[in-house]
Amino acid sequence: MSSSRNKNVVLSAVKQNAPIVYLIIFVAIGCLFVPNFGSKANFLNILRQAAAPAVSCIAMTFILITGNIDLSTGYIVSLVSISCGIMVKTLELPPYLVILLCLLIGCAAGAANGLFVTVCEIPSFIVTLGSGMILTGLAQLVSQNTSYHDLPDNFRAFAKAEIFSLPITVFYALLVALLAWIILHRAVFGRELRALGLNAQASRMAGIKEKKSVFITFVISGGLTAFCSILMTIRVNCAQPDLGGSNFSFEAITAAVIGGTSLLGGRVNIPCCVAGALIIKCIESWINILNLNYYLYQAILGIAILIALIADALKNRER
Amino acid sequence: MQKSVLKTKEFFRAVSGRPLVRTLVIIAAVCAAAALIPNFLKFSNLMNVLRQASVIAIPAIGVTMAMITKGIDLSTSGVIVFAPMCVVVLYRGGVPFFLCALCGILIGILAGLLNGILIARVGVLPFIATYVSGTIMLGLTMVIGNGGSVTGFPKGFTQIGNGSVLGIPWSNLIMLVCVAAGALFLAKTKHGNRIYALGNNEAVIRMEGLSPEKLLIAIYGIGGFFSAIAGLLLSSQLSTVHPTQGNSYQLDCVAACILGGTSMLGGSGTVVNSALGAVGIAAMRNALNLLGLHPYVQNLVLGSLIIFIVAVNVLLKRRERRQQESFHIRRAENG
Repeated sequence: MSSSRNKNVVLSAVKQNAPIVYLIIFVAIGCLFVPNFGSKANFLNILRQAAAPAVSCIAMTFILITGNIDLSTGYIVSLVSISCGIMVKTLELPPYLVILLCLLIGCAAGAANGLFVTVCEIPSFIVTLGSGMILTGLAQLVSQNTSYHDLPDNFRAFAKAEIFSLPITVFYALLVALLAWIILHRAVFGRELRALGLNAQASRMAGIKEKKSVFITFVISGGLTAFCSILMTIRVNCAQPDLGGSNFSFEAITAAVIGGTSLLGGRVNIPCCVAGALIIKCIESWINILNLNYYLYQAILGIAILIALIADALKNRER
Repeated sequence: MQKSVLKTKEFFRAVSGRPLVRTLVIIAAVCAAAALIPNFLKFSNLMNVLRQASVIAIPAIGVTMAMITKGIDLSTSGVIVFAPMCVVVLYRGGVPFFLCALCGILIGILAGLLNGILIARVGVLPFIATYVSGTIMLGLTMVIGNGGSVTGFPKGFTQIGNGSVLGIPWSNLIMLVCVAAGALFLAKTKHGNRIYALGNNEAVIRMEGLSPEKLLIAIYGIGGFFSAIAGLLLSSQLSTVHPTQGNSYQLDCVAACILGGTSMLGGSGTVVNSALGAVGIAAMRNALNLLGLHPYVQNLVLGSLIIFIVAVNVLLKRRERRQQESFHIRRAENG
């Protein structure tokens, strides 16, 4: 009796955290069949590369949870990266002020998206498709087609340090994940957001302020995306107007969807999202190690998100 | 019942009078451009605008149909590069060109049908299904072309994009034929009417004993067909295939439909208006080009324009709906 109950508990835990299981399977396959995949250096590399996508994927999750989407993520990254470069190199502002201003720029971009989605009630994908174009335009205008190499050391120190031989960006990502987990899984606000995603009408009747909540998620997401952009800019040591782009938005959505976030809203699991980001970086690492055509990455990501979408749709049909 | 629905529809179409507003916006944009730029009104430049508009207008037919059913098609940019890439690779492999072109169009149709199946049968949201399939096709195009451009189309084919007959460029003739076919199909055939019915009220289609799923799959299939034709046309204009040459069309097609007054909320929109919208978008890009503005500034303008028009459209539609509701309430009160 108790053993079968235990089995059920384990089974449901596995079902709820399927992406983590997939991650373990991916890593195991990689260790068995891909040479050098299992080396410590490669794992460290994957962790380092996955830090920024994990943050952006959590940022995306905040928006996806209410059934909206942000296709402009990659372009927020571009705009923040180039403004960061200008503030550091040309204006020579102190690093912490730069970081603060960058986060504000991200929040402002998110707030603009959020305003159009909530006040004008335009579908979020069309708002962010349009605002994405505006943001790239702005990034190019501001940059005048230059990029800023060799950022000053005191700025790079923000994300350059290592703790226990792990890059500090990994800890930043973990911190963001922890905060997001608390907000989405343990706080009332998170429960309201999930309720909105599952059934907006019922939530409105229950007194949840839909517009305010959606607007706040867009602002939070913009800020997190800006943070992710700072991490990426420091990692490549170059502020450029085409750092993110549409491929980056696609990567963030893919990571979130593979991580079990439903595009119809309401279903979310932060640890699984992080696993999703790690899974796509594992795939990228395979492609790099096996020396395959790098352009396969996008196609494989597309097919992976397609499988995840179909699985999600079938799950929703049961619901 | 049917009659009263029709009557209220006619009533509000007359009241809102938006098609006129739409056309005025387009004309105003063109006039503003012409007034600003000396070279804009030259005959050769106007022909150029029309030539650029053709690649936007043709896929916009499919996007219009998708938008009428409350969906959208963002896979246009993927098909626009993937179809000609397959064509050129097959042709270089020694297949006769006629068969290659047929294959390219078939690939477009297949991609569209796949979109339709994902949307109608599996239940994936239209914008995400088409966005993902477009990205996959873009990725596959990159893989095939190794990230660069591929050339080697036969000479006769590139003549289509750049040549003309009786002074009218082939591109425009093809656009006219496609738009006319799409407009007639949507406005005059019973399947076209069913598409509007599906957008307004899905239950009507079910009551008629028809399958909305099959209709949706067919709509996205048609969209894929037109995108493939536009892709071939673009390649024949440029006589090459580069994975990024289709990028701007994803948004341009949606923008053309929106400028043409197709509602994001479904149920309304015509192919002719979308084609006019396409001409408007092409004219705008051309004017900004003549002004010497960078393409990114064009993106800025276009992005703002899309958000602005959709916001206005949505607000108008909402007011219309509120009026309609109060109209019905008054009717019910008066018996």
